[in-house]
Amino acid sequence: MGENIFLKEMKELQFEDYFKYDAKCRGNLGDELPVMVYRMLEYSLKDELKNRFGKEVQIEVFRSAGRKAREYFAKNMLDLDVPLDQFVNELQKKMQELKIGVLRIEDVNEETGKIILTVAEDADCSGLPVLGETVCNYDEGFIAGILSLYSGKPYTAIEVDCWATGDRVCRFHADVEERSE
Amino acid sequence: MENRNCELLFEYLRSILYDSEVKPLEIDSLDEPFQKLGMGLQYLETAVKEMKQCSAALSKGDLSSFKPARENFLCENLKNIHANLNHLTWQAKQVAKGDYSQTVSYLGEFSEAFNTMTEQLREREKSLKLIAEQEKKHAEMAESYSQLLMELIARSEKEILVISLDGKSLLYSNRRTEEEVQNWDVYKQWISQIGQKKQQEDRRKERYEWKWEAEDSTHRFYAITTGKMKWQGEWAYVNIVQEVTEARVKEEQLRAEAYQDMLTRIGNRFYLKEKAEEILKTGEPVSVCYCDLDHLKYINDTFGHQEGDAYIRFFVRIVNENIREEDIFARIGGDEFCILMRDCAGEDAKKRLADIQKQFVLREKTNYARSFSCGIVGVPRNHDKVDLDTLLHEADEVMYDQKREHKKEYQSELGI
Repeated sequence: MGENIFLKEMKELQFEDYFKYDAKCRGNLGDELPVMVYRMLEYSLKDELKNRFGKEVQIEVFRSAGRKAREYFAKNMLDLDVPLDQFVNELQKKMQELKIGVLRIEDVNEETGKIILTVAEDADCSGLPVLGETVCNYDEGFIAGILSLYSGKPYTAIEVDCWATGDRVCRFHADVEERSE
Repeated sequence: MENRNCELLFEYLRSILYDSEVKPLEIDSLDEPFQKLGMGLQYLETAVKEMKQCSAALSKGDLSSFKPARENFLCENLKNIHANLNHLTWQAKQVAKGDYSQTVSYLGEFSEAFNTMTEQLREREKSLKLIAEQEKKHAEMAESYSQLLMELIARSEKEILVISLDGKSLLYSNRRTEEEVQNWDVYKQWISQIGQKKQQEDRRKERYEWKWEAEDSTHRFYAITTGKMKWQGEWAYVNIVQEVTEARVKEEQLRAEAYQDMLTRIGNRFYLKEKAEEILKTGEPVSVCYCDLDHLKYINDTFGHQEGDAYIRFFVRIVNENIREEDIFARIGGDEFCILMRDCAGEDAKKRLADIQKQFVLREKTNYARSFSCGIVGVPRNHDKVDLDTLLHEADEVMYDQKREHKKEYQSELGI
């Protein structure tokens, strides 16, 4: 075969391009994977990144990846133009539907914008033994990204409790990042 | 040795499980092989103690004091409960704020009960919003009707007065103050009306209304419709008052004109007929005097109609000066008149009429002779004559005799 003109003129691949797949392509196995497979991918990457670039870089890469994922998730699966209560409600439903976890709000400070939320049965960590540190850095980026996109303010999310620290839910403190002038 | 160590450890385990104050275990009191087990039990004691403290805090709803150690495996379910309670607390606050979209997942019967509650709240809110919307529409409609009504009332010439059932309080007036109403003589007449109506009123007919007329001290006339209506939840009298003075005056004028002779301002044939019927019905004696002015045509032809009119008015003046207030005097044709002398015998009437004829001839000099002819028909007491036309015809016949005589006299005077 000669040169494929279509591939030659193709634009550089973007993140979204990977999601334009045919969901019916797995006619026998279906569109879902076991949690174990998800974790295998996640923790092998995590391990590889930590070994190659150190723990801090690994954490930053995971948070950054989470932020990237939220963009696709929020734009394609959520309505960002509804009031906060309705938005949270829809987010809860969507996260359950996609089996990411059971999102629950514990507190919202309407003045400061600080939100305490938990994710039960989290896909990343539920069932892990006590490892002595939180592990859901991807979720931190994911949650911060969604809240930033919705509110238009730069949010950060820090996981303060996790299955890996002996808790039974992941608890995140999400707060508006103070920008340095 | 083994028994003693086992006994100490068993006693310590029993104390951990059952005593409120755990009896401490001295590790040194144990022999070497049992010390590790003893230290494990001491860790268990700490974990159990913390679990008890945390569960006590949770049982009291004290969520902020719940801080178990991360590695305390005995608290793992409590941590779950704690997270759920934190979330439920926030959800309850949201519901209190009116966010009924809240639902609880994976908490069994509680989820079902909570979700039913919020669903019902949503339904109720929807229904209340619908009702509120309808009420708002009704209120807006009522407001517009009210504005329209007030505008109509403001533009209306009619006066509206709402007065309490006891007549003591003015509840509404579009024109007058309470003091003005209390001092208005129409209000006093109204009080009297109400008193009479209350006696006749059929209490079952609460919306009963009636029309009546009143006149105040300045001779202004009012047509009033009075009825009952509910005013701010209480029965009251509503009065719609329209001044009809102008209409009444016009009516009176028309009535007067219809019964009056325009030239002489005395009654006309209609007036005579109405009065004669009234008098004749009573059976009282009356003299019917039929008068006809002599040679009016001659005066009109010779001196003009103005003089003819003056001649007629002079005749009327003389008659008016000589009849009584109760007598009836009317012009029933161009030169024909009739006097009804009430309670007056035939001779007396003849005498009085002769006197009038004399005055008419003699008073004030003119270029022509003045006279009138008359015929009198007397109707005695307790008569049964009620037909004016017959009486007038009879009087006319009598009058013609005199007329013929007057004509001869006049022709002789003129030498014809």
